[in-house]
Amino acid sequence: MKIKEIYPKVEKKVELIKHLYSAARFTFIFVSIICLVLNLITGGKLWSLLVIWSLWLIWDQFIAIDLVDYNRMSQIVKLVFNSSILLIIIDRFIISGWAIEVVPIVCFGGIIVIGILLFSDFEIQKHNTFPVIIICLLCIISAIIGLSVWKEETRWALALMGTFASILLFAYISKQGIEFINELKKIFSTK
Amino acid sequence: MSIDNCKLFVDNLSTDNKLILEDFFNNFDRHCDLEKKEKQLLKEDFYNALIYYNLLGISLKKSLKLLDINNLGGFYSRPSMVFYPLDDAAKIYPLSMKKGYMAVFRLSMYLKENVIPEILQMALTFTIKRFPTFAVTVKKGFFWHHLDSTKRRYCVNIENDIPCQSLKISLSGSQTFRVIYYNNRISVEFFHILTDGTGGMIFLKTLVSEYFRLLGISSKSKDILKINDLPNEKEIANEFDKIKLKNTPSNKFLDKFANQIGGKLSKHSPCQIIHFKMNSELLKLKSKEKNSTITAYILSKIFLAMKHSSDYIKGEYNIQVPVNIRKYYPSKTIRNFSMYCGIRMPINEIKNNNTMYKNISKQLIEKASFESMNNMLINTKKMINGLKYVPLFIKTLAAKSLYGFFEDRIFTSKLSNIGVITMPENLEKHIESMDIILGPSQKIKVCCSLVTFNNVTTLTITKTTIDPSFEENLYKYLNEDGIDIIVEGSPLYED
Repeated sequence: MKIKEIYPKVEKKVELIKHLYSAARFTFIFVSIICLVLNLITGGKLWSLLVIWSLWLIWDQFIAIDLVDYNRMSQIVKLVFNSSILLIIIDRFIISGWAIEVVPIVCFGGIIVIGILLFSDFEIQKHNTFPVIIICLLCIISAIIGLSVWKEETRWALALMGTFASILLFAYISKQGIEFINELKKIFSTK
Repeated sequence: MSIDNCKLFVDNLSTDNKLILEDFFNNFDRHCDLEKKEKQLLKEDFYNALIYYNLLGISLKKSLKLLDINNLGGFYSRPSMVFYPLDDAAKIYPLSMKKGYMAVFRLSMYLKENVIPEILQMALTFTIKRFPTFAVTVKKGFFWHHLDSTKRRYCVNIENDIPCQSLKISLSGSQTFRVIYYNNRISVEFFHILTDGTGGMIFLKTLVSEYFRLLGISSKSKDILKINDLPNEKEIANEFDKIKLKNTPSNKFLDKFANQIGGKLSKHSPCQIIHFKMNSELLKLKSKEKNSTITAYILSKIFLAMKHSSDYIKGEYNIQVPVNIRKYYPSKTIRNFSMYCGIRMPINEIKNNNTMYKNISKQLIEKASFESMNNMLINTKKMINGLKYVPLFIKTLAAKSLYGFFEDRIFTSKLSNIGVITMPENLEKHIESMDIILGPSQKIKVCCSLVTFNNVTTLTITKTTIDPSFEENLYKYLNEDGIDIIVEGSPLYED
């Protein structure tokens, strides 16, 4: 059976990235399991969780690139989310008592960056606002819950986070006008 | 084409023509509100086409008439606001995507002359506005993905990669399909999220028809959309919405695992594309001799070839056959409206005799019947309804692990027959043939597809193993029945 070739010759692709991807996946899983086992054997603080989440953060942020919605704002939101969980793990399992202030600071820092990215290139970025709306809503809800639960203590960071999230959301809604409703329909469509 | 060339072209025009051209591009400016870079590229596309016409000796007036700015409509002058929820069949595709794997298929038309890229680009620029559900980018929502309307310059490219590679759809405003050309071939590769074979074929036919119009050959056909008509609600409908839910026996989406054909999975996916070109009349005659349809006849030959392509002596093979639901629910939709059935054969019953042909024909009639398909539609709809309030990240996690694992173990292969394709008579004489390529699956090693055009039936094999047993045996079995085959294809993309 002789095949007449009617397709162009294709330059051999460098397989390096594919190999590095597989190697990284294997290494990350291997290191995670080893750390968890060692931690469980030796006992003490659950430091292995910190290692596992750090590896996940590197994987999710830099290696396993998003196949849909990969843009500057979605990446910042992901970084804020992953970093916040990392900080909560450190607070909960290693040294306690500071995350309640540091996590909101990270969040409102992230919100400021997202705001700059959104309004500096609004016409393009207005199509990428799903993660922005979600992080704003999460921050506002967290701030309300946090401030209601810890009434007696000074929780300035939570208040600041809620305020910044509200300002960003309000600014976005003002700029979008009636289109914001359409955006919400898109995001929360169950069809 | 550089700006210098455009200037050179303008400089060589007479004063009158310069004024006509200026007026033309003033009109263009009113019809195009894309961002500066995109607008410039679109303008250059017009210049490239004008320069091509000029080289052919066509007058500027005639060229400008062919490239009439009204063909842009309002598509490029209005911001993108619309979104389209995915149809029920499309919902699985973005969920099951993985790095390096995406459900892509390709439709190609081979012309009798080499493709003129400048004209093809203009044909796409004018055609895309008629297909609003193709001019989109995939986006995430809280519960489902959706298609976000994207106004941009949709570009054609020369073919320089392996067919049916994943599309890069992650960036803002990414294309969800690609139009490519190579020598005399025009191909469109679609992410399955947009459409099925029927919708894709309408797009390709409309694009090619517009390409020929720009070359001065006009045509009309009911399957070819008029590019300047407004998109119709029926064309973009999710036809699954029309299906009435009622109590039906639950459908087995998960079936028994089937044997896979032998051979190692290749590093490149696919590692080769092979086309068997056969005389349709002869194929029809041979099928009739076996009391089968062409699909059943080819399925039987595929089963025979599969038997010789692995070392299994027991177990079953299962071939997935897509079914166009439009034949049961007449529809004009250009979105997905197809389901599938599985044709199973125990290995010990795969013999080149009438019993096997009869068995396969019987299965095909039963499993692709209205009742079975309706049952599957209802169950699909029920499943989608059941999952609609589950957040997307949970659905993605579940689908990624389950879909690839089950789909590729339940089926040994796929055979998609999109049937007989016709073009208007005055275009048919400029077109040589057609083919359809199914994109590779994650684990299935051969996928087959059939299309008939101009009395030529093209059977295409998408391979992800370098083991040549399957195609060699398929060739042998078809040849044994006296069917002459012209074999064309790609080089082996493996080291």
